Amino acid sequence: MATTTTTVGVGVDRESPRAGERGRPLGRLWRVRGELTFRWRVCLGAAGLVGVVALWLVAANATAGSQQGVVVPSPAATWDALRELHAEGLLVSDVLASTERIFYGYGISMAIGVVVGLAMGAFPSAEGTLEAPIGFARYIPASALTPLMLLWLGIDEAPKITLIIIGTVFYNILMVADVARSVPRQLIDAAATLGASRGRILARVVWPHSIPGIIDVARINLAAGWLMLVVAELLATDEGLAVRVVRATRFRDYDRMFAILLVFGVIGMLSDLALRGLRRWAAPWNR
Amino acid sequence: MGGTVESVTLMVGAARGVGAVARASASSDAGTDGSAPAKLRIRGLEKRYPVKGGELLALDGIDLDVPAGGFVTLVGTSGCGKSTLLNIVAGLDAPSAGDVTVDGDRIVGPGPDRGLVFQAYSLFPWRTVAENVAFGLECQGLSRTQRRARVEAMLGVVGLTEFAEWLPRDLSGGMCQRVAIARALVIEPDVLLLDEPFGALDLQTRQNLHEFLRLVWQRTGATVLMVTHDIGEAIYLSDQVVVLSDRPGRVVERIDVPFGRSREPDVRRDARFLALEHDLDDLLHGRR
Repeated sequence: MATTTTTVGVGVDRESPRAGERGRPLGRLWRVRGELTFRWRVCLGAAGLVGVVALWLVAANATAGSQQGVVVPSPAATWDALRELHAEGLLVSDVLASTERIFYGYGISMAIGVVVGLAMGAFPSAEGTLEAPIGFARYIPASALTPLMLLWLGIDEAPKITLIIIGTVFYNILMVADVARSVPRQLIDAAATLGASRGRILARVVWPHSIPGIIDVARINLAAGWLMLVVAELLATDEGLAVRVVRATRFRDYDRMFAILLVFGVIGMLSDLALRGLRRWAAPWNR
Repeated sequence: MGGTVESVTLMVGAARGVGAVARASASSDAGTDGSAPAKLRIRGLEKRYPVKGGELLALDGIDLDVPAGGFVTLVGTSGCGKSTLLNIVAGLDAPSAGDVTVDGDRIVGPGPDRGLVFQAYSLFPWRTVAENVAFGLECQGLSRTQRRARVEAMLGVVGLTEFAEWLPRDLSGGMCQRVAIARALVIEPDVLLLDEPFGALDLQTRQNLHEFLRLVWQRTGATVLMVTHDIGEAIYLSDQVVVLSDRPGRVVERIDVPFGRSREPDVRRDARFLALEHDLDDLLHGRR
């Protein structure tokens, strides 16, 4: 015992795998904040999806023929329901209706978020004035405003789009403000000493530096936008993915319900991918 | 935050009128060179910061002149307020008392007449080298063709023509600093302010850039005020070295460098150079 402890010298790594080697290998897949090769990324990404489908299959098998009413539709049944929806012409119209609401609602929300957020991040006066009201408004549950929206804006698209805006705009503003605040002081000072006006500093320093961060904010909060869509489509409407889910549930048509949930997930993944691409295209200097 | 700083400046501005005249006459002998008129003139400069339970006096009664086309370097240990002084000249920070003038005009904010080069990381990472250099020219509203001509000429001066389309992240630290200096110089400022411009570089690169800066300085005839903690660098590059004391920063000594304008790197081995280096080192560490 005593002899083993004396052989372990300072600087000699005891976790070294073999005699004659020193140091703890960083590893290829498990290096902290390491990077994957493209091939590994694709393989692991596919493995994750396969894993989800496998879990789904297991759950579907386990609940098949269950008497308790616990039902997990099988992937095959879900696929059939999806094709059925498509054949009825509902799938495309629902996707279009919901996407349009998100496009306008979340688009307006991001536009407000960028303008107000950049102002708050750039100017202490704007920050001082707006921080308290926005902090307050952020905690009002947007879904609770649904009846008011109906009362004020009728039953058309306006209340639905407004709900999506209210449900996301405050997060967007505060997160964009954070992005704008992270512009290095030195870049702003350098621009000022080169003769840039306040407006030019905003347009040519704060804005370009914030673009990748703003796209990240858009990407993260988009999920909240879809969440609000579900609430919004509970208002009187005939078309939309959330409407379809609610109706399917009401008729205990769980195959169809799962099919729509699948569509939600796919749309989310695709928009995420698109925004990542946009970020890479718009800010090639940033990673 | 911004509001308080501005109001303080206003109060100081109102109180300045009387005191400044008295100070200016009292310290009129503080000039570096009787013959050349001072381009940059600092009189009775004070900077105080509020700290917990009181006030920190960072700069105390600084008088400083930089003649047109001159090269003056401030040396001092870290925390002596020399960067603060430079920021005040740049207009990024407001003095608590005293006056800073360029050609007789009082400094009230940043402007293209005073180019500032930071220690590092001040290039716009989304702009290529050429676009970085063009920034100040864009602010002046120059046309694309005018900008291109000026940028090309300046990139030639700093030897970065081949790298015009590169992004800062692909450049070495030394190249980045050359771009930063080019960006500040291309708009032909009255005064070039250098805040430890070579502090983050290795010795070899630093010495290369010393040669580069001397060359650029002689070609452009710029008026330079530099801050550094590298004594050798200060002596090698400047006409006059000004030593600042530790907190509060006060001018301890002004030393005219006894070498001509055209210096070779060999001058570093000159006995007078070494003696000066020792003197300044003693001064900096309070041994004299």
